[in-house]
Amino acid sequence: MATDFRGYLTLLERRLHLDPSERDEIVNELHVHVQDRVLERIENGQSPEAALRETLDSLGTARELADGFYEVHSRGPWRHTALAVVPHLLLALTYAFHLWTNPMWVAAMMLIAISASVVGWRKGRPRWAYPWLGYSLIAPIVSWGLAMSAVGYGAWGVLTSGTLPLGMPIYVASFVYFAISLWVVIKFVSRVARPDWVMASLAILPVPFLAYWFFFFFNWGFAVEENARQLREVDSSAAIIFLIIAAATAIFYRIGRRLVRVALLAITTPSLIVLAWMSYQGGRGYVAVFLFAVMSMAVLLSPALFDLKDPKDDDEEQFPGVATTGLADFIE
Amino acid sequence: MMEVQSELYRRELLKGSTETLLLSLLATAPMYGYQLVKEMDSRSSGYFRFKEGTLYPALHRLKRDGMVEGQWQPSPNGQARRYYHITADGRRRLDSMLVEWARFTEAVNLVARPDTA
Repeated sequence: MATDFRGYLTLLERRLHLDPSERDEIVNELHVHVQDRVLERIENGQSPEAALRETLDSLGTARELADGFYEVHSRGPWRHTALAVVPHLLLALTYAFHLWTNPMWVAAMMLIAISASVVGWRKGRPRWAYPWLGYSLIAPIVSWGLAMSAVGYGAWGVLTSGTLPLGMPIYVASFVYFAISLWVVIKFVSRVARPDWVMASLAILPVPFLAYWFFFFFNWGFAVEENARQLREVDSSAAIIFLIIAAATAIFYRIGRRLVRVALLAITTPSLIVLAWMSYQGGRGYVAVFLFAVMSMAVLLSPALFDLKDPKDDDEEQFPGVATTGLADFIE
Repeated sequence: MMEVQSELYRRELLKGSTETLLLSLLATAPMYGYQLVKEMDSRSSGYFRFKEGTLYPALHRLKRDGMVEGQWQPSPNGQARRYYHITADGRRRLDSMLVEWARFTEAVNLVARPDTA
């Protein structure tokens, strides 16, 4: 039996996984409710401890209550779902019509993604904004990969011939850039992962496939013209993959249960990698693709690290029915 | 055993009628959560006892769907409370639910008690 009101509210706050403004409103509302109920029970002759215990029991456990609120608040209206799938549909369109070779189109896409992200960020990160924010991360991630390649190329040159293949300033700039872009990505992910790391994972859902595509393209030496026919063939697969990502995103927004959302993301990522592998490489190199799928899962679920559980959070029964903390909030 | 079954049945019925009952109460006046619990208890002579943990998520669902609006305002004793007001959409939804409810109970009576229907 819970008789620690402050502990109850703390657990509730931790489990709500909502934006601070929504969370504070819920907590305030429940605080007033419990206050009313406890005072009424005390007036009816109950002891303060018994009054608080019964009131908290009638609310249910903090976990049940938080799940109920999460299910309601995390779904949002249909227009949020529609806005959230738009960037994936645009990518599907880009691949379906082979538009990624058109610099104007790519620039327009980047501009749209960054504008939507800025609007979303300034509006307090509503749920529709997360997929847009994820695409805005692609630029620092890609440039990070390029900076890493330059550093790796230099290290390889030193190991094999004892000299740097490129000038020292390039390596210094690459290191600085690497550090800054890494800081930007970590800062961003930690910020969006705070209230609900599952939303941060959703934001980076397309990243594993885009990384796969980038490596694949890199292996072809970025030779678009020479491989135009093959590229068109794999572009259809990429379009289908982005349609699947759009469908997974829509399902994600329409189901309120957090655990089901995690399961959906965990299933979608390796499935997309396997699908890409079969389309792009005809099923060759299964060990590499297995490792890539595992790595993608790890990356996708990594925002959970920013939401590591407080050890105190494990057991709601940790608050024995001895101390009735929080009662002073109600009783003068 | 029968009492337990009745209680379970009552809970099931309440679960399916929560929205209708809340909108019906809010159609009479804006109320805050605890006031809704008390009103429900008093108007149903104790028949409907909300598990309070389900009340708030239900209210927030109605708010999300635009059926009610929440407004923080001071109550007579000075304490700020969130009062829920029914919206025009909420009234329309309530009207259609009540019509449906009347049809439903009539049909149940026709089947279960044909002699009295």
